[in-house]
Amino acid sequence: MKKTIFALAMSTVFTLPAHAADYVIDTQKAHAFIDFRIQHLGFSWMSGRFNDFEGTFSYDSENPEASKIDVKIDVASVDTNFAERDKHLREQFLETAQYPDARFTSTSFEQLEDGTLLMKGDFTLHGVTKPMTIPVEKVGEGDDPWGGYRVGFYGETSFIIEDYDIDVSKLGPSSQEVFLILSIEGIRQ
Amino acid sequence: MRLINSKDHYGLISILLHWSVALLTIGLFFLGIWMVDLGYYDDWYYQAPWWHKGLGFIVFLLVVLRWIWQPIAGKPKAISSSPVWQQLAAKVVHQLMNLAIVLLAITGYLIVTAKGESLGIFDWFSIPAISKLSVETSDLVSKLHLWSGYFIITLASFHALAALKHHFINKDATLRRMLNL
Repeated sequence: MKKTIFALAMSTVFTLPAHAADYVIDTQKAHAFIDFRIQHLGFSWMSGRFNDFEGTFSYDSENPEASKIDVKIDVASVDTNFAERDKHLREQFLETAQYPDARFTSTSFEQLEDGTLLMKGDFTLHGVTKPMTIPVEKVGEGDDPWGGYRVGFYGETSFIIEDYDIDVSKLGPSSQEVFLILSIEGIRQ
Repeated sequence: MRLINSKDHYGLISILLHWSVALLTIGLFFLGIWMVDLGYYDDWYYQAPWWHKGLGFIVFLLVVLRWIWQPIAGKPKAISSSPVWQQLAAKVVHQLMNLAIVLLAITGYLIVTAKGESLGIFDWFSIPAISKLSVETSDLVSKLHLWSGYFIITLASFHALAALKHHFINKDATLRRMLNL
Protein backbone atom coordinates (compact mmCIF):
# COMPACT_ATOMS: atom_id res chain seq x y z
CA MET A 1 0.00 0.00 0.00
CA LYS A 2 2.71 2.43 1.05
CA LYS A 3 4.60 1.53 -2.05
CA THR A 4 1.62 2.28 -4.24
CA ILE A 5 1.15 5.71 -2.71
CA PHE A 6 4.84 6.42 -3.06
CA ALA A 7 4.80 5.30 -6.67
CA LEU A 8 1.70 7.36 -7.33
CA ALA A 9 3.25 10.42 -5.69
CA MET A 10 6.47 9.99 -7.65
CA SER A 11 4.64 9.52 -10.91
CA THR A 12 2.69 12.72 -10.24
CA VAL A 13 5.90 14.62 -9.59
CA PHE A 14 7.68 13.26 -12.61
CA THR A 15 4.80 13.57 -15.03
CA LEU A 16 4.02 17.17 -14.00
CA PRO A 17 6.12 18.98 -16.60
CA ALA A 18 4.51 16.99 -19.37
CA HIS A 19 0.97 18.03 -18.36
CA ALA A 20 -0.46 21.48 -18.19
CA ALA A 21 -0.56 22.67 -14.60
CA ASP A 22 -3.57 24.36 -13.10
CA TYR A 23 -3.21 27.90 -11.85
CA VAL A 24 -5.43 30.20 -9.82
CA ILE A 25 -5.19 33.86 -10.72
CA ASP A 26 -3.71 35.70 -7.77
CA THR A 27 -6.50 38.15 -7.09
CA GLN A 28 -6.25 37.56 -3.36
CA LYS A 29 -2.93 39.36 -3.11
CA ALA A 30 -3.80 41.52 -6.11
CA HIS A 31 -1.14 40.43 -8.58
CA ALA A 32 -3.58 40.51 -11.43
CA PHE A 33 -5.24 43.51 -13.06
CA ILE A 34 -7.94 44.09 -15.61
CA ASP A 35 -7.39 47.67 -16.67
CA PHE A 36 -9.13 49.57 -19.43
CA ARG A 37 -8.66 52.82 -21.28
CA ILE A 38 -11.07 54.87 -23.27
CA GLN A 39 -10.53 58.18 -25.00
CA HIS A 40 -11.99 61.28 -23.44
CA LEU A 41 -13.39 63.63 -26.11
CA GLY A 42 -10.52 62.58 -28.35
CA PHE A 43 -8.20 64.75 -26.23
CA SER A 44 -6.84 62.32 -23.67
CA TRP A 45 -7.11 58.86 -22.10
CA MET A 46 -9.28 57.90 -19.19
CA SER A 47 -8.29 54.73 -17.42
CA GLY A 48 -10.04 52.47 -15.00
CA ARG A 49 -10.12 48.90 -13.85
CA PHE A 50 -12.30 46.12 -12.52
CA ASN A 51 -11.38 45.54 -8.90
CA ASP A 52 -13.11 42.19 -8.40
CA PHE A 53 -12.66 39.15 -10.60
CA GLU A 54 -11.56 35.58 -10.27
CA GLY A 55 -10.27 32.96 -12.58
CA THR A 56 -8.24 29.86 -13.22
CA PHE A 57 -6.13 28.71 -16.09
CA SER A 58 -4.01 25.80 -17.08
CA TYR A 59 -0.70 26.33 -18.80
CA ASP A 60 2.33 24.33 -19.83
CA SER A 61 5.27 26.15 -21.41
CA GLU A 62 6.04 22.96 -23.40
CA ASN A 63 2.60 22.93 -24.91
CA PRO A 64 1.07 26.42 -24.69
CA GLU A 65 -1.62 25.66 -27.28
CA ALA A 66 -3.26 23.28 -24.79
CA SER A 67 -3.85 26.17 -22.38
CA LYS A 68 -7.26 27.03 -21.00
CA ILE A 69 -8.55 30.02 -19.11
CA ASP A 70 -11.78 31.08 -17.48
CA VAL A 71 -12.17 34.50 -15.86
CA LYS A 72 -15.28 35.95 -14.26
CA ILE A 73 -15.47 39.69 -13.63
CA ASP A 74 -17.75 41.43 -11.15
CA VAL A 75 -18.71 44.31 -13.43
CA ALA A 76 -20.02 46.46 -10.59
CA SER A 77 -16.46 46.71 -9.29
CA VAL A 78 -15.64 49.12 -12.13
CA ASP A 79 -13.36 51.80 -10.72
CA THR A 80 -12.33 55.00 -12.47
CA ASN A 81 -11.33 56.82 -9.31
CA PHE A 82 -14.48 58.98 -9.26
CA ALA A 83 -17.61 57.84 -7.39
CA GLU A 84 -20.11 59.73 -9.53
CA ARG A 85 -18.68 58.42 -12.80
CA ASP A 86 -18.53 54.85 -11.48
CA LYS A 87 -22.19 55.07 -10.45
CA HIS A 88 -23.02 56.45 -13.89
CA LEU A 89 -21.11 53.59 -15.57
CA ARG A 90 -22.89 50.97 -13.43
CA GLU A 91 -26.36 52.40 -13.90
CA GLN A 92 -26.46 53.89 -17.39
CA PHE A 93 -23.92 51.89 -19.38
CA LEU A 94 -22.97 48.54 -17.87
CA GLU A 95 -26.37 48.06 -16.17
CA THR A 96 -24.75 45.92 -13.51
CA ALA A 97 -27.99 45.22 -11.62
CA GLN A 98 -29.20 43.32 -14.69
CA TYR A 99 -25.85 42.02 -15.93
CA PRO A 100 -23.61 41.59 -12.88
CA ASP A 101 -20.98 39.34 -14.48
CA ALA A 102 -18.66 39.50 -17.44
CA ARG A 103 -16.77 36.40 -18.44
CA PHE A 104 -13.98 35.28 -20.70
CA THR A 105 -13.72 31.59 -21.51
CA SER A 106 -11.02 30.44 -23.89
CA THR A 107 -11.80 28.20 -26.83
CA SER A 108 -8.33 27.78 -28.34
CA PHE A 109 -4.74 29.05 -28.18
CA GLU A 110 -2.40 29.62 -31.06
CA GLN A 111 1.35 29.97 -30.65
CA LEU A 112 2.89 32.47 -33.06
CA GLU A 113 6.50 32.40 -34.25
CA ASP A 114 7.46 35.50 -32.30
CA GLY A 115 6.37 33.86 -29.05
CA THR A 116 3.04 35.63 -28.79
CA LEU A 117 0.21 33.42 -27.74
CA LEU A 118 -3.12 34.19 -29.41
CA MET A 119 -5.80 33.54 -26.84
CA LYS A 120 -9.18 33.02 -28.48
CA GLY A 121 -12.39 32.74 -26.58
CA ASP A 122 -15.87 34.00 -25.85
CA PHE A 123 -16.28 37.26 -24.02
CA THR A 124 -19.60 37.99 -22.33
CA LEU A 125 -20.43 41.53 -21.31
CA HIS A 126 -23.79 43.23 -20.76
CA GLY A 127 -25.53 39.94 -21.56
CA VAL A 128 -23.89 39.69 -25.00
CA THR A 129 -21.38 36.98 -25.91
CA LYS A 130 -18.95 37.53 -28.76
CA PRO A 131 -15.72 35.89 -29.84
CA MET A 132 -12.60 37.78 -28.79
CA THR A 133 -8.92 37.27 -29.54
CA ILE A 134 -6.33 38.55 -27.11
CA PRO A 135 -2.63 38.36 -27.95
CA VAL A 136 -0.76 37.58 -24.75
CA GLU A 137 2.87 37.20 -23.92
CA LYS A 138 4.40 35.44 -21.00
CA VAL A 139 6.21 37.85 -18.70
CA GLY A 140 7.92 35.16 -16.67
CA GLU A 141 7.54 32.04 -14.58
CA GLY A 142 9.28 30.26 -11.77
CA ASP A 143 9.46 29.61 -8.05
CA ASP A 144 8.31 32.46 -5.91
CA PRO A 145 10.11 33.31 -2.63
CA TRP A 146 7.36 31.71 -0.51
CA GLY A 147 7.42 28.12 -1.74
CA GLY A 148 4.98 28.49 -4.60
CA TYR A 149 5.26 28.52 -8.36
CA ARG A 150 3.95 31.37 -10.48
CA VAL A 151 3.55 32.37 -14.09
CA GLY A 152 2.44 35.74 -15.39
CA PHE A 153 1.08 37.08 -18.68
CA TYR A 154 0.41 40.41 -20.26
CA GLY A 155 -2.12 41.08 -22.97
CA GLU A 156 -3.88 43.90 -24.73
CA THR A 157 -6.96 43.99 -26.88
CA SER A 158 -9.76 46.34 -27.79
CA PHE A 159 -13.38 46.12 -28.77
CA ILE A 160 -16.20 48.34 -29.98
CA ILE A 161 -18.46 48.98 -27.00
CA GLU A 162 -21.58 49.14 -29.15
CA ASP A 163 -21.00 45.46 -30.11
CA TYR A 164 -22.11 44.55 -26.60
CA ASP A 165 -25.36 46.53 -26.86
CA ILE A 166 -24.07 49.35 -24.71
CA ASP A 167 -25.14 52.71 -26.07
CA VAL A 168 -22.15 55.05 -25.96
CA SER A 169 -23.25 57.20 -28.89
CA LYS A 170 -23.56 60.22 -26.58
CA LEU A 171 -19.90 59.90 -25.55
CA GLY A 172 -18.69 61.11 -28.93
CA PRO A 173 -16.89 59.46 -31.85
CA SER A 174 -13.52 59.03 -30.11
CA SER A 175 -14.98 57.07 -27.24
CA GLN A 176 -16.57 54.16 -29.06
CA GLU A 177 -13.73 51.73 -28.54
CA VAL A 178 -12.35 50.50 -25.24
CA PHE A 179 -8.84 49.10 -24.78
CA LEU A 180 -8.27 46.30 -22.32
CA ILE A 181 -4.95 45.82 -20.61
CA LEU A 182 -4.59 42.51 -18.84
CA SER A 183 -1.88 41.67 -16.33
CA ILE A 184 -2.45 38.19 -15.01
CA GLU A 185 -0.41 36.21 -12.53
CA GLY A 186 -1.34 32.66 -11.56
CA ILE A 187 -0.23 30.51 -8.65
CA ARG A 188 0.20 26.86 -9.47
CA GLN A 189 -2.09 24.61 -7.49
CA MET B 1 -46.76 92.25 8.48
CA ARG B 2 -45.54 90.27 11.45
CA LEU B 3 -42.48 88.09 11.37
CA ILE B 4 -43.61 85.71 14.08
CA ASN B 5 -46.60 83.41 13.87
CA SER B 6 -49.76 84.04 15.87
CA LYS B 7 -52.64 81.76 16.90
CA ASP B 8 -54.26 81.92 13.51
CA HIS B 9 -51.65 83.50 11.23
CA TYR B 10 -48.29 82.53 9.83
CA GLY B 11 -45.63 85.23 10.01
CA LEU B 12 -43.45 86.25 7.08
CA ILE B 13 -40.49 84.08 8.07
CA SER B 14 -42.52 80.87 8.31
CA ILE B 15 -44.23 81.66 5.01
CA LEU B 16 -40.96 82.33 3.21
CA LEU B 17 -39.38 79.21 4.65
CA HIS B 18 -42.36 77.09 3.62
CA TRP B 19 -42.48 78.26 0.02
CA SER B 20 -38.74 78.34 -0.57
CA VAL B 21 -38.41 74.75 0.64
CA ALA B 22 -41.45 73.74 -1.44
CA LEU B 23 -40.26 75.35 -4.69
CA LEU B 24 -36.65 74.27 -4.31
CA THR B 25 -37.61 70.69 -3.49
CA ILE B 26 -39.89 70.38 -6.51
CA GLY B 27 -37.24 72.04 -8.67
CA LEU B 28 -34.54 69.69 -7.39
CA PHE B 29 -36.71 66.68 -8.10
CA PHE B 30 -37.16 67.55 -11.76
CA LEU B 31 -33.57 68.74 -12.09
CA GLY B 32 -32.40 65.40 -10.69
CA ILE B 33 -34.58 63.30 -12.97
CA TRP B 34 -33.51 65.36 -15.97
CA MET B 35 -29.79 65.58 -15.32
CA VAL B 36 -29.07 61.85 -15.02
CA ASP B 37 -30.04 61.34 -18.66
CA LEU B 38 -28.08 64.26 -20.09
CA GLY B 39 -25.73 63.44 -22.94
CA TYR B 40 -22.03 63.85 -22.42
CA TYR B 41 -21.80 66.73 -24.86
CA ASP B 42 -24.70 68.61 -23.27
CA ASP B 43 -23.85 72.06 -21.89
CA TRP B 44 -25.60 71.13 -18.66
CA TYR B 45 -23.72 67.84 -18.15
CA TYR B 46 -21.55 69.25 -15.37
CA GLN B 47 -23.61 72.39 -14.67
CA ALA B 48 -26.81 70.57 -13.65
CA PRO B 49 -25.25 68.39 -10.91
CA TRP B 50 -23.36 71.47 -9.69
CA TRP B 51 -26.67 73.27 -9.12
CA HIS B 52 -28.35 70.13 -7.78
CA LYS B 53 -25.70 69.73 -5.07
CA GLY B 54 -25.61 73.40 -4.10
CA LEU B 55 -29.38 73.86 -4.01
CA GLY B 56 -29.80 70.53 -2.22
CA PHE B 57 -27.54 71.80 0.52
CA ILE B 58 -29.54 75.06 0.73
CA VAL B 59 -32.82 73.14 1.12
CA PHE B 60 -31.31 71.06 3.88
CA LEU B 61 -30.22 74.25 5.67
CA LEU B 62 -33.67 75.79 5.25
CA VAL B 63 -35.30 72.69 6.75
CA VAL B 64 -32.97 72.84 9.73
CA LEU B 65 -33.82 76.56 10.06
CA ARG B 66 -37.54 75.71 10.03
CA TRP B 67 -37.04 73.26 12.87
CA ILE B 68 -35.24 75.90 14.88
CA TRP B 69 -37.67 78.61 13.92
CA GLN B 70 -40.92 76.78 14.59
CA PRO B 71 -40.70 76.55 18.41
CA ILE B 72 -39.53 80.19 18.52
CA ALA B 73 -42.27 81.52 16.26
CA GLY B 74 -45.06 79.37 17.66
CA LYS B 75 -47.50 77.43 15.58
CA PRO B 76 -50.98 78.57 14.53
CA LYS B 77 -53.77 76.33 15.78
CA ALA B 78 -55.07 73.68 13.44
CA ILE B 79 -58.26 74.65 11.65
CA SER B 80 -60.79 73.36 14.20
CA SER B 81 -63.42 72.48 11.62
CA SER B 82 -61.23 69.66 10.30
CA PRO B 83 -61.88 66.20 11.71
CA VAL B 84 -59.23 64.87 14.08
CA TRP B 85 -58.05 62.19 11.62
CA GLN B 86 -57.34 64.86 9.02
CA GLN B 87 -55.36 66.95 11.48
CA LEU B 88 -53.40 63.84 12.37
CA ALA B 89 -52.89 62.87 8.73
CA ALA B 90 -51.63 66.37 7.97
CA LYS B 91 -49.09 66.13 10.80
CA VAL B 92 -47.90 62.71 9.65
CA VAL B 93 -47.45 63.98 6.09
CA HIS B 94 -45.53 67.05 7.32
CA GLN B 95 -43.14 64.94 9.37
CA LEU B 96 -42.68 62.37 6.57
CA MET B 97 -41.77 65.19 4.17
CA ASN B 98 -39.19 66.45 6.67
CA LEU B 99 -37.86 62.92 7.00
CA ALA B 100 -37.66 62.55 3.22
CA ILE B 101 -35.66 65.79 2.90
CA VAL B 102 -33.21 64.63 5.55
CA LEU B 103 -32.91 61.27 3.77
CA LEU B 104 -32.38 63.03 0.45
CA ALA B 105 -29.66 65.20 1.94
CA ILE B 106 -27.85 62.30 3.60
CA THR B 107 -28.08 59.96 0.59
CA GLY B 108 -27.13 62.76 -1.79
CA TYR B 109 -24.02 63.45 0.26
CA LEU B 110 -23.18 59.73 0.40
CA ILE B 111 -23.53 59.26 -3.38
CA VAL B 112 -20.95 61.96 -4.05
CA THR B 113 -18.56 61.01 -1.24
CA ALA B 114 -18.78 57.22 -1.77
CA LYS B 115 -15.13 56.92 -2.75
CA GLY B 116 -13.73 59.60 -0.50
CA GLU B 117 -14.26 62.64 -2.74
CA SER B 118 -15.66 65.71 -1.06
CA LEU B 119 -19.04 67.28 -1.86
CA GLY B 120 -18.64 70.72 -3.43
CA ILE B 121 -21.32 73.28 -2.58
CA PHE B 122 -21.31 75.76 -5.45
CA ASP B 123 -17.78 77.06 -5.50
CA TRP B 124 -18.01 78.21 -1.91
CA PHE B 125 -16.71 75.26 0.05
CA SER B 126 -16.77 71.50 0.12
CA ILE B 127 -17.86 68.95 2.68
CA PRO B 128 -15.34 66.14 3.14
CA ALA B 129 -16.25 62.46 3.01
CA ILE B 130 -16.65 60.64 6.32
CA SER B 131 -16.38 57.08 5.10
CA LYS B 132 -16.02 55.10 1.92
CA LEU B 133 -18.87 52.88 0.79
CA SER B 134 -18.85 49.49 -0.86
CA VAL B 135 -20.33 49.30 -4.34
CA GLU B 136 -23.41 47.50 -2.98
CA THR B 137 -24.04 50.13 -0.29
CA SER B 138 -23.42 52.91 -2.73
CA ASP B 139 -25.95 51.46 -5.20
CA LEU B 140 -28.49 51.04 -2.39
CA VAL B 141 -27.92 54.62 -1.29
CA SER B 142 -28.52 55.96 -4.79
CA LYS B 143 -31.76 53.96 -5.05
CA LEU B 144 -32.81 55.34 -1.70
CA HIS B 145 -32.12 58.86 -2.99
CA LEU B 146 -34.37 58.27 -6.00
CA TRP B 147 -37.14 56.62 -3.97
CA SER B 148 -37.06 59.42 -1.37
CA GLY B 149 -37.49 61.86 -4.25
CA TYR B 150 -40.59 60.06 -5.54
CA PHE B 151 -41.82 59.71 -1.97
CA ILE B 152 -41.62 63.41 -1.16
CA ILE B 153 -43.25 64.43 -4.44
CA THR B 154 -46.10 62.00 -3.74
CA LEU B 155 -46.51 63.38 -0.22
CA ALA B 156 -46.31 66.97 -1.48
CA SER B 157 -49.03 66.21 -4.03
CA PHE B 158 -51.35 64.96 -1.26
CA HIS B 159 -50.38 67.97 0.81
CA ALA B 160 -51.17 70.37 -2.05
CA LEU B 161 -54.43 68.62 -2.97
CA ALA B 162 -55.50 68.77 0.68
CA ALA B 163 -54.71 72.49 0.79
CA LEU B 164 -56.74 73.11 -2.39
CA LYS B 165 -59.60 71.04 -1.02
CA HIS B 166 -59.59 73.19 2.13
CA HIS B 167 -59.55 76.32 0.04
CA PHE B 168 -62.18 75.50 -2.58
CA ILE B 169 -64.43 72.97 -0.87
CA ASN B 170 -64.23 73.74 2.84
CA LYS B 171 -63.56 77.40 2.06
CA ASP B 172 -61.44 77.76 5.20
CA ALA B 173 -58.20 79.68 5.88
CA THR B 174 -55.75 76.77 5.52
CA LEU B 175 -54.20 77.88 2.24
CA ARG B 176 -54.80 81.62 2.67
CA ARG B 177 -52.88 81.83 5.90
CA MET B 178 -49.84 80.25 4.27
CA LEU B 179 -50.09 82.86 1.50
CA ASN B 180 -50.57 85.73 3.93
CA LEU B 181 -53.85 86.63 2.24
